[in-house]
Amino acid sequence: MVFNLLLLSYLFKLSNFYILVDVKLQSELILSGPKYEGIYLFDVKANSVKKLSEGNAYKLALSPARDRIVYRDYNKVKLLHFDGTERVVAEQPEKVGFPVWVDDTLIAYTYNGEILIVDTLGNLKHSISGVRSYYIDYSPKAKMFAFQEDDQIYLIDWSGNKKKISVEGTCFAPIFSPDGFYVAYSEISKGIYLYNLNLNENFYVSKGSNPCFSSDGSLIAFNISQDDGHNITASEIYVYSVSGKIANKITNTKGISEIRPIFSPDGKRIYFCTPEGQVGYLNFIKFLR
Amino acid sequence: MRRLVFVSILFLYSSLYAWTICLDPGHGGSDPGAYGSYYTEKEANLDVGLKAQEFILQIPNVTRVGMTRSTDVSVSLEARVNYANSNGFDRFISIHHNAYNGTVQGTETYCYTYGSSYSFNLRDSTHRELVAAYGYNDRGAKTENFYVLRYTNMPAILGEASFIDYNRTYNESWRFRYNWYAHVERQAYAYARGLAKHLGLYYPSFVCHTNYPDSVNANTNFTVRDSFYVAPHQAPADVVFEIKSYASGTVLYQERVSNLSAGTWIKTFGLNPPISLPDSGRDYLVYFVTYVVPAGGNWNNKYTYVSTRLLPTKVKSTGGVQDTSYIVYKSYPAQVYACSTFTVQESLYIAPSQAPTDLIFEIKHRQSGNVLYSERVSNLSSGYWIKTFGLNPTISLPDSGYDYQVYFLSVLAPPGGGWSNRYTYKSTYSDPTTVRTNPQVDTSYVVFKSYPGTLIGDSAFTVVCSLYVASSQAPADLVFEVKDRNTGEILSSKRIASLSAGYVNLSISDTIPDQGVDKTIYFVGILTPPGGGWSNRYTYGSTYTNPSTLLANSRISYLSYPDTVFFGSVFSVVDTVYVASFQAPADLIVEVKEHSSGITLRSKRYSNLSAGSYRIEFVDTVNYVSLTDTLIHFLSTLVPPGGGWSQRYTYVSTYADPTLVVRTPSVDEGKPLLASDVQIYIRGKELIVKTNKPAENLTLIVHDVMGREVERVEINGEFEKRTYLNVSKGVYFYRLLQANRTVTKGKIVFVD
Repeated sequence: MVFNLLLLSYLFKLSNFYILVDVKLQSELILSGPKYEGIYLFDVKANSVKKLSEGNAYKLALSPARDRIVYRDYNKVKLLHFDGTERVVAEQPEKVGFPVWVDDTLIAYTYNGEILIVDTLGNLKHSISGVRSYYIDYSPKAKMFAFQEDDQIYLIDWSGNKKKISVEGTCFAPIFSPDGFYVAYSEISKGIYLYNLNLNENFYVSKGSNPCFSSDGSLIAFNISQDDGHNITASEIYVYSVSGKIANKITNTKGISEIRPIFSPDGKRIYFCTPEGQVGYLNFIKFLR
Repeated sequence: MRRLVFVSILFLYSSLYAWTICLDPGHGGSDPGAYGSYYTEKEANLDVGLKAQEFILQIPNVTRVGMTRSTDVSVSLEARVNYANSNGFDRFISIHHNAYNGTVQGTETYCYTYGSSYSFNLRDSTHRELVAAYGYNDRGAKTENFYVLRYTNMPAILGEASFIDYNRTYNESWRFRYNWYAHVERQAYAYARGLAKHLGLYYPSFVCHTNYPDSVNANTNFTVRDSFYVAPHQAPADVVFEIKSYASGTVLYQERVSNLSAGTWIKTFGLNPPISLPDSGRDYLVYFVTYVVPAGGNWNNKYTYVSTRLLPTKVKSTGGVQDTSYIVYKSYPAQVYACSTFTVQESLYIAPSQAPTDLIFEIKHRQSGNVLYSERVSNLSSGYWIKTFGLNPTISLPDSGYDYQVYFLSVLAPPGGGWSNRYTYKSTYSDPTTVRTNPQVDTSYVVFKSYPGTLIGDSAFTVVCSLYVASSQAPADLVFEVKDRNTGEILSSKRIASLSAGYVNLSISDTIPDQGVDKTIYFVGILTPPGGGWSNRYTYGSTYTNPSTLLANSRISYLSYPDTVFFGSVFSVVDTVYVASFQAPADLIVEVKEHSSGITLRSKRYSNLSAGSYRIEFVDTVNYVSLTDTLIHFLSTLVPPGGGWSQRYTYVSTYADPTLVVRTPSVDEGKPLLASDVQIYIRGKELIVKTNKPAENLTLIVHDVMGREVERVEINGEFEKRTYLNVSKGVYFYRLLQANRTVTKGKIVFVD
C-alpha cells in the first residue's frame, strides 16, 4: 500500500497563459500557449521562459535522451532542438499524425492509414499499414505501437498484427507504461483504464483525466476535475498505484485547480498547470507501509 | 484583403480535403445545465447535436463527425477536449443553450478571445445562421475563454442559440420538448450550414413544415405547406409528403413531388388532389412526415426529413362513421404522347362493410367508349391503399394519326364484379387526357375488353376484343386463338378477315371441346396482314398474364358389365366417373332395371364424390324377385348431392345392349320349358333361340307356308342357339318341341 504525504503546491509566477506539455528535466518544463500554440522551455530555477518555436505543441514528443523534440506542424514532422533550431523531418501532402520517438534515431508518425518510421533525416525505414489514427504511442520494451481508431484502442506490432484492447465506449489517448507492460487510456464518460499486456485484461483505474506514468512505471498521476459546463471549477491530483490498484488523492487545495499532472524524471515532483494558465508543482514522497 | 485571401485559400482547400468535425453537446448526465419548464438544456443540446451530426455528414468532403456524447452521460470538460485533440479533428463546435430569468431571449455565439482567424470566421458564419434559424434577438458574436475554446487544438466555437428558460410570449423549452415546427432541426441545420459556408462547401438539403393544422374536421379538405431546400450535390431530388396514423403508423395519404432541381421550394400539399381524412366515428390522431430523397428514392435512402409526431394533429369526428369506400385520383397526366409510357396513381379507401373488393382500372377512348387498357386488382382488404397503374405492365396508348382524348375510370366492386354491381367509381371523364399524335407513328393494337375467367368444355362462350387497325396496316385479319397455357397447344382458332382501318369492338363466340381435365388457357388476338399469321403479325393482344380456366365436364362410362348373368349369382359393374370441379361434390346412382318395363330392381347411391376421377365397382346378386323379364340393363347417373334423375348432370346406360338373366337348372330342374322361358327371333339371316334355363331335348322345326320343313334345329342344354337359314324371303312358321310337346310356335318373316 502506498501512502503519500502532501506537501505544499507551488505556483510559478508566470506572466502569460501556459499549458504544461511535458517535463524535459527535473527543472525544465516544456510549455505551450493557449490552444497549444507556441513551444516554450521554462527553466524552473531561473524562472525564465524561452520560446523555442511558433509550432503547435499538442502531443509533442521528447526524445529518449531528452535532448530534442518532434512535433507535428499540420502536414510536416519537425525536429526541434532546445537551442531553437528546427527542421522538417518529413512532409506529406495532407495532415499527418502526431509523431513519437521509436528510439533516439527513429521517429514514427501516421499518414494515410500507415505508421511511417523514418530516421531523423526523413528516410523511410519501415511502414505498418492498417492504422487510421493521428494519435499513437510506442513502447521500446514491448516493441509495439498503441493507437486509437474509431473510438477504440489497438496495439500493433512491427509485422502489422493488430489487436483491439479497449473496453466498449469512446476511448482515446493511449500511453504505454515505461516498462511496456501496461497501456493507460481514457474512456470519455467513465475515466481511466489500464490494460495489462501480459494478462490481456483491462482494469478500471478511476474517473479523471490526463493519466501520466512515473518513470519507473509504478504510479499513475491524474486529476479529477469539476466544472460548470463552461469552465473547470475545481480539480485535484490523484496518484494510482499500479501494483496496489488503489488511487490516493494527493492535493486538496480549494484555491487551485490542478490539472494535467506530470511526474518529474526522478519521480519526486509532480508538475501541473491550471485552467487559468498557471504552472506549478508539488513535491511528492512515496511511503510504503 | 487578408480576409478575402483567407476565404479564397480556404475555399480552394476545402473542396479537396477530407474534413473531420467534433460536435460537443454541452452538459449531460448529472449535469442538466439550464432548466426550462418542459426541457433541460442537456436534452436540447443533445437533440440538436445528434441532428447536426446527420446534417454535417451530408456536407461533401466531411468524412467524420465525432460526438463527445451521444447519450445522456456526464462528460468532463477535460475529457471532451482531450477526445477532440487526440482525434485530430479539424473543427470543434460546442452546443449550448442559455438561461437567465425567463424574460430574455436571443442568440449568442462564441470563440476564444485569442483564437485564430479560422475560429472567428467559423463563429461569424455560424452565428448568422443561428440568428436566421429562429429569428430571435441577435445578442452578438462574442469571445470568451471557455475551457473548450482555449484548450482545443483546433478552431472552436460555442453556440448559445436561445434561452431555454424563456416563457414570456411563448415557452422555449416547450418548443424543444415537442419539436415545434422542427425547432431542433432548424438549429441543427444552422450549425451545418454555418460550417459548410465557413469551409466553402455545399450545405445539405433541408425540409420544414411552415404551416399545418393542429386539428381538422373529418371529411374536410385541408392543406399543409412545406418549405425545402435541395442542395446542388443532392439534386435532382424528390420530396415525399405523408400523413400517417399516430396509432399504427399506417400511411393514410402520400404525395410525391419529383425531380426537383437545386434551390429553395415551397409546396402546398392538399390542393390537387385535396386531402380529406375520413370520419371513423371518434377523434383520432395523425401526423405529417416530409422527407427529401434522391430522385425515385424512398425512406431508406432519405437525405433528411421532418415529422410532427411529437405534436400530432387531431382529426375530429363530426358524428358520422365513414363506411363508404372512395377513390381519389392523386395524379394522372393531362397530356401524353402516343406510344409513351405513363402512370396513374390513386388513393383508395375500402370500407370494412365492402371488403374484400376488386379495383378495376380502365382507360377509355372518350369518343367511342372503347377500352384501351384494363387492369384489375383483386381482393383488396379494408383500409387505405395507394395504387399506381402503369408500372407493371406499363401503359402506352396507340397513335391514331391524330390527337384524341381518353379518360380514366376506376371502379370498386365486389370480387369478380364490375360496373353493374359497383360500390363506387371515379372518373376523369370531365377532365380527360389528350393523347398527342406522333405523325410518324401509327400502330394497331388489340385489347381484350372482356373474356370469361372460367368456361366449360363443350359450352359456348364469347370474348370481346377492342381493336384499332392503323390505316397503314389495313385491311388486316384478326386471328383469334385459344391456347393451353402450360403446353402452348392451340385449342381453338378463328380468323376474322379483312378488317378495315379504325376502331372496332369484335364479339367472338367459340366453343372449346371438353379436354377431359381442367386446364389453364389464355386468349390471343393477332392482327396480321390478310392471310398472315404469328410470324408476320402487326401486333397482338393476349390474356397470358391473366389466364382463364377451362373446366372439363363430368362424365361416366362403363369400364365393364356382364353380358349374361345367372339368376342367383353375383356380378359386378365397373363405372369410370369423372366429377367436374364445378359440379363437385356429386352423387353417383347405379341402378339395375328390368329391360322391358324399366322398373328399378336395385339401386345404390355413392354420395358426395369430390372433383376428380373414380373407378367404382358395383357388386350385386341376381335375386330380383320381381323380375319377370329375361333381360336387365344398367343405368348410372351423376346428380347433385341428394338429387335424382331430373337434376342429373350426366348419365350412361346399357339399354341398347342389355344383359341376359339366365335361370339356373338347380332352380328350375324338372320343370317343363314354358313358352315364357324362350325367345325366338331373327337377326339378319340368323335364327336365334334363347332360353332362360338349359333345356334338354329341344327341337325347333321351321316350315314354309306350304308346310314344307325348311330347317330342323336340335338344342340340348344350351341357353342360346343361332342357326343360319339359307332361305328366300318370305313368311315361315316355327314350332319348338320338347319331347314331342310343343313348347311354343310362331311366325317369322325373312326379309332380304
